[in-house]
Amino acid sequence: MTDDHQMESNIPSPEMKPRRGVSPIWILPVVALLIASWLVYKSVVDAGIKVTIRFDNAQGIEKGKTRVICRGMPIGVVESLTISKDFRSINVVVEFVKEARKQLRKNTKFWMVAPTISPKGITGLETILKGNYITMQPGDGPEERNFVALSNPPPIRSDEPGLHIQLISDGLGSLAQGSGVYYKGIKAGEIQQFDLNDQGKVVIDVYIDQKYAHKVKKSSRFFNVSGVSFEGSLSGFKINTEALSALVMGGVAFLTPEEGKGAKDAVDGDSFSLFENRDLAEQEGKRITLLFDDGKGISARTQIRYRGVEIGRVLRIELNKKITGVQVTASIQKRYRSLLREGTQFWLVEPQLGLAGAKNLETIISGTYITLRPGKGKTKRTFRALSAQPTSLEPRNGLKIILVAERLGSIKADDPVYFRQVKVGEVTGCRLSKDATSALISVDIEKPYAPLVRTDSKFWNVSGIKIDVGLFKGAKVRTESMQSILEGGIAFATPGKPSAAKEDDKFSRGVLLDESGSRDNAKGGTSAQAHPPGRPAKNGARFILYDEPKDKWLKWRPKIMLGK
Amino acid sequence: MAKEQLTAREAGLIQCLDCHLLTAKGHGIMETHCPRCGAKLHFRKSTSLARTWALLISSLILLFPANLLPIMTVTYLGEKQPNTIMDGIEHFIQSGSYFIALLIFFASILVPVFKVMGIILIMISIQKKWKTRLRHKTLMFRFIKFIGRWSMLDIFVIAIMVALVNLGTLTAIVPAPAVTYFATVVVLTILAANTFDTRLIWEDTK
Repeated sequence: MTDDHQMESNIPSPEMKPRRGVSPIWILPVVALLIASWLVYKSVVDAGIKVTIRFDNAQGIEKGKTRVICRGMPIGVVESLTISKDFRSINVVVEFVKEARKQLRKNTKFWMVAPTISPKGITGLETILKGNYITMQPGDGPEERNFVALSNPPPIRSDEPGLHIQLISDGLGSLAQGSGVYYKGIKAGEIQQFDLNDQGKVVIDVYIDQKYAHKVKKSSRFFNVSGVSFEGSLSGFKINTEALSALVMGGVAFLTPEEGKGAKDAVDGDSFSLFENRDLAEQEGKRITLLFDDGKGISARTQIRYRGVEIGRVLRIELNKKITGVQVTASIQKRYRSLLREGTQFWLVEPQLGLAGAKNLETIISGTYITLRPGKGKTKRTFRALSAQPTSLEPRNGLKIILVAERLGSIKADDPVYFRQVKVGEVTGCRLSKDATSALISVDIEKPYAPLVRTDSKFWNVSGIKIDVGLFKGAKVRTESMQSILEGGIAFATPGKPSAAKEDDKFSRGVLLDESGSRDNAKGGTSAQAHPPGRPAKNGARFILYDEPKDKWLKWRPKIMLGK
Repeated sequence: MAKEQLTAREAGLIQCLDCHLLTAKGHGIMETHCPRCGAKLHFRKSTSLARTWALLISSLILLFPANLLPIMTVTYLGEKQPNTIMDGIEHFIQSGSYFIALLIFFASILVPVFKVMGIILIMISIQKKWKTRLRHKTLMFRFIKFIGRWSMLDIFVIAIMVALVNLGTLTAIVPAPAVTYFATVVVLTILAANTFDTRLIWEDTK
């Protein structure tokens, strides 16, 4: 510029202004700065969280490679590995993605996942290619940056969707962590862990998948299906196994007996008792206690049947505390609980071989069983069992009469009552009269034959063989039927055509023993003389039991229409 | 170098930077153009210092992401492994390829840093009018200008690797963000070296 001025002094000088503005080139550093600051901002925002996890062993952990994977998603990577000062553990520094910040809490658990081959299957196969990885289970508590890794996978967390329940058992058996829980053969969950409780029982934590959680009801029963169970008897042979993996790993199955609308779903924390096997689980119901004098023939698993159908099982048999009897703990299926009432009688059914034939032969093969006759009182849990079958198995609804005899003879309960050698009824019981002057025999005449018994009927004992030997009349053998010879029995006859009835007053008076009232019997007494036979006997009527019949009784042939 | 030398500028002459024709200084405030090739004539490159500074500062800023961010992602058996420049060098040293490691270290880390630092040093010395070792500075600048293009080596290595190693999920190499920053740094430093007018070094050195 000065040169210009010197050379062209006569030319007006241009206005000299300092260059204004900034060169557009400065946009470049500004842009660079913006990019850089954006990167810085991003790295600060995205900065990972550094966490130290202490492992016993760094096997398979590689700096910069080993990742922390949660639910299949990598959320962190091992940044560095250092051995502790005492060489007892390895401190692994892991950098987590920032999203993990909220999950790194005091109870968060970390453990290594390595490939394992077990009867359950091969797990962690992906680690063969990608290397072992660390996985985690989020936990609660305050935020934490230092953790100690677990050596084994922890049980599934209690807030995992699904059902978390407990099984109480006397022993663990062959169950193990990871053993399956099966429902109808489908694996529905698994055993998480187990521990002893204060009572010395084993408490098994079980996790049921969300998918099958609704199958577990409050009334569900769990039972052990580990291994194979053999159950053999002469009537059959049974092999039970749930699933092949249950065979090897052990397992638990459950069934739900009342799978209706009413059944309440089980909720987290419910406990169930673990039955030894499926049968016991199926039979589980009301626990009852039966008191026997003698435990012979009873064992755990002895069936309890009603009308031939199994309704329960004996669980335990032991002497009572005073060692004066046997205490049997049994379980009756819930749906049959209405049978358990005051007055219900229990007794043991054993095979019986006698002159009259064999009874309950099936028990030789299937074993003895306990049966019962239901009562009508209030519900009850403890029963005194009878030593033998009570006189009548079922309440009879035939005609009930009472025979009065001087001596019982060989009459006993269940002895038949014959009319014209046809069995029309049974002796239901024998007892002494209150004043002990006579024996009272209760007889039940089957309903259709009830009209045969009239107020003037005569009863006599037909037990044994009556042999009448006389010098002139020769020998006379009288018997009712073969069974009556062996077992004893009662026969009766009712007066009527065609023989003309000439009744002895004395016998008519015997009929008057009817408890219901002398007036009725007085009438009956008079009508007994009439040709249409006497009035039908009423329930509770009393008759005399003669030792032997009179000849004319045998000739009576009344015409009576039988009932239905 | 003898003192009291007459410079072209003092003699009122301008050299065309394109065809190197020496012309007399123009008159007035009119723009002067080379009579032979028509290029615009300046005594010195216009706003040389400012432009160089801007480019240098930009490249200095971008040097950081270029070196700290991963320059390529190696996928090996489905597992992605991001690598910064230093990771790559470390990898080569570990695998015993010291020469390649040295080459990449030189081309990718040393040279860009050296370039930026060298030019900044020269610029400061001009602005502060430090008149020492001018010849060394000029030599250094020439060296910077010569070596600058070699920094692109790393970019080419990555470009070739991306093309060669591409076996799908088995093994693949994918460029990562730092490539862009690194290439930008190289280009910016080359531009900075170009916008710088070496004659400024010798200004007022009588």
